[in-house]
Amino acid sequence: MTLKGRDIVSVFDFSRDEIEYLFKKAEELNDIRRGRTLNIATGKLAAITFFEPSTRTRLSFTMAMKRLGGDILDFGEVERTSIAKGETLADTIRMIDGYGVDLIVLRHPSEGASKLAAEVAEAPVINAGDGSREHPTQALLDLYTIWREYSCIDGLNVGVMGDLKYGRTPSSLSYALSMFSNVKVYYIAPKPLQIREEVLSRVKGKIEYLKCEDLREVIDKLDVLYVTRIQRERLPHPEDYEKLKGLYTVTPSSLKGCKDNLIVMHPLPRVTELSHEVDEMKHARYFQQAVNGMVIRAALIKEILGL
Amino acid sequence: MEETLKSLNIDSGTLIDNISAGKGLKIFKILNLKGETVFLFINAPGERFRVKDLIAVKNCFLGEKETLKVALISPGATVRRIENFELKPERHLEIPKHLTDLFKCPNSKCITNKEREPVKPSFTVTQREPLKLKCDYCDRYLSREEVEELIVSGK
Ligand SMILES: [Zn+2]
Repeated sequence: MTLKGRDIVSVFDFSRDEIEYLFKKAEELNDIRRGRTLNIATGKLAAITFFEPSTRTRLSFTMAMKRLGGDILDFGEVERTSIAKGETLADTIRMIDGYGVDLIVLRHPSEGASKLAAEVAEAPVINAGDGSREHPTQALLDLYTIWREYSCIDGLNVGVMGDLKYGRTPSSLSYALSMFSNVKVYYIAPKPLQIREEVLSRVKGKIEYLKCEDLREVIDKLDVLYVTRIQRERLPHPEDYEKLKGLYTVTPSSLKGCKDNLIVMHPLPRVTELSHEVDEMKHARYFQQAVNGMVIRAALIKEILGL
Repeated sequence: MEETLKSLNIDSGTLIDNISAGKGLKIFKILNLKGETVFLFINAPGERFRVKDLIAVKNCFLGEKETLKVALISPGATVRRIENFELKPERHLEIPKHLTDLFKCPNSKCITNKEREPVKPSFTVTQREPLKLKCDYCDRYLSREEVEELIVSGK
């Protein structure tokens, strides 16, 4: 199995076997998890090209590359620097590619930007988020976190809660879960923020799913609860926010009746949707998620570079 | 039909037949056939007591893109060449698996809508009946009705 030279535009660029292969490869990078720097990628250069701010994702890719012993070329926030002033994305990517970098990590506000970049660049491109469309490495790290807990993804019941309509995490996660067998997803959200039909149409027949509005109705079924933030301005009636806030906040009491081995996840940063009291519970996994993100990205970079 | 062509004095040109009733005017508009002699028949008698629209145009032949647009607006339509008042064999309007540069993606955040970016809108047919397309860049799904609207509004 090889991922060498592969562009990662969508989570669908992976097969199930490749995803599981990456998980195993990530486990081999335990030294990175413990904070050591390896020299696997010595002499390799990754361009970190972000057209919109995302400190965490940028940090995660930067750390992943550095821990592998490679180097990065960070273009800062490209839009604010002169390199992209009035220039098309295609030209910027061609220019960066022309430097002979080994890998381009791209984040861009336009949907489909990474596909265009992959078409014009010789170097492999990793999509680090394009518009509200996809964020394949986020989906990968979410799955990896689940897999580390249960050693498999098949047959799990996953609750996804919060803003499922506008958030990019719920759709990417749904697509990734659809590659596994017998997964059941509970979409827990107020009606105006429920998961989009176009997402469901892509997972129909691959996962079983159920939409509901109240976590308490399904909490006893879940192996995983994935919490995302609801933003006031996304609601058709923002005055409903205060009312909904309580219903969509996870606290020790809202987890009452949950399975013993339930894990609670969150892409972070959080605001009020996940109370700090949950941090102390054995269910909390969101801080590990961030570390897992760096490790799985390191594994992905290593495989794409064929190291 | 040949008799009609003679009476209309169209010795050479194109006949678009079997247009679903009510779509003739839309097709006439998008083909931008100004300057030619164009006949548009609305609610003409068709098969099995049904009515249809027809367009006959003199000295004008449809390119591939225009033909595809006709097929997208009225899937049952047929396009035939007229030579010496004679109708040449029917061309079947099969919609290909990939459609490029025919209409814009309706998603304003799609990279294909970014100014000056060297990328053409392109779509893949994901379902034939009823027709469903997906943008190759932003994954937005489109129904045939939405495509018709995009073509007619000139987007
Ligand atoms: Zn699009």
